[in-house]
Amino acid sequence: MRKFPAIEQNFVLLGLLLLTGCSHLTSELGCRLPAKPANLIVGQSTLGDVLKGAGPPTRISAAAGGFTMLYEYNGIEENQIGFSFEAPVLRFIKFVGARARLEHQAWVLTFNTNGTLQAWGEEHWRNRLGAGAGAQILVTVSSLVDSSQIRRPAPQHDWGKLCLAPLPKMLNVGQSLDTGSQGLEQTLSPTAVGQRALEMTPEQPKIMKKKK
Amino acid sequence: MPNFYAPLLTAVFLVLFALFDSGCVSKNSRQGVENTWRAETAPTFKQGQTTQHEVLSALGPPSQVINLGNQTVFYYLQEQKQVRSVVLILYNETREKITYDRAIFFFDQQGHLTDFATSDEKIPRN
Repeated sequence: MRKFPAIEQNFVLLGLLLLTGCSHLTSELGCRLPAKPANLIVGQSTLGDVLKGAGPPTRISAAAGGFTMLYEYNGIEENQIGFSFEAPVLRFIKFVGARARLEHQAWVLTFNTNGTLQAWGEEHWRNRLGAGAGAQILVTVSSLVDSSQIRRPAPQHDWGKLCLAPLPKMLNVGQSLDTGSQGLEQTLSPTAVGQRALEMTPEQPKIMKKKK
Repeated sequence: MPNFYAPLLTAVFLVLFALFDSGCVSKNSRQGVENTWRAETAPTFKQGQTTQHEVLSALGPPSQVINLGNQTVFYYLQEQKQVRSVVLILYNETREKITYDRAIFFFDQQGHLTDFATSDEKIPRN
């Protein structure tokens, strides 16, 4: 067994003494998708077969000559390493570095107007989502990697509110990917391309101070 | 920093530390329509027989109504977010689980049910 030199041992001990506030944060959005059912055959299987094997989709939309369905799963795992220093005030603050990984699964299926399966595409990958660093109060446990786009509520909840959205988003609701009539998109799709670019996410309204 | 500030700051942090010392956090929230399709007395739906009116009467307004041309879809969704957290200062663990309870109904142009499904994921009813 290899012996660590004294200097390395000291560094390891020092690291262990400083180490504090390490965190493990996980988010699971939905259930992992099963393996592609073997009995589903493009050109033969029907909508009923797909629903029986996979259940309701995450999203559904009309498409030219039929309709399309998206099934999706996202899982985020974030690991944080924190250090604090034995000094007045600083002992209550931790300096944290974080890394997050994302596991993503998606199926897209298209059907013709008769409800026959026309195409099937799938992807499954695990990749780095991002990293972050910060200083926090010792007892704080919060994510340092922005995953808000993945963790946002399902668009179906806001379906009825789309026409109340601020301009210019409301003016482009006819092309929205959330209505189920103009196509669909994966949760991870950036908002600065395609149909979303028309919405030009407006600035948040400033809170006006009351005049005395 | 003047010396007299140090005890004061230490006292403030000790109070904060005492207030937020190690512990457990549990949060639960729901969003969306009532998942009536999970009720013990949930109605049975039959392809070719059940009508849009019967589904709406039984389950209420859906989250989304989608026009697929020759078909209409009623999409029902309830979303539940559960967060469990253990704060041990030296090591902390947070688990967030979002569950989607879905039901989907396809109708033909005459308003008769052609296909339907409910998700394997379930949210227990209150």
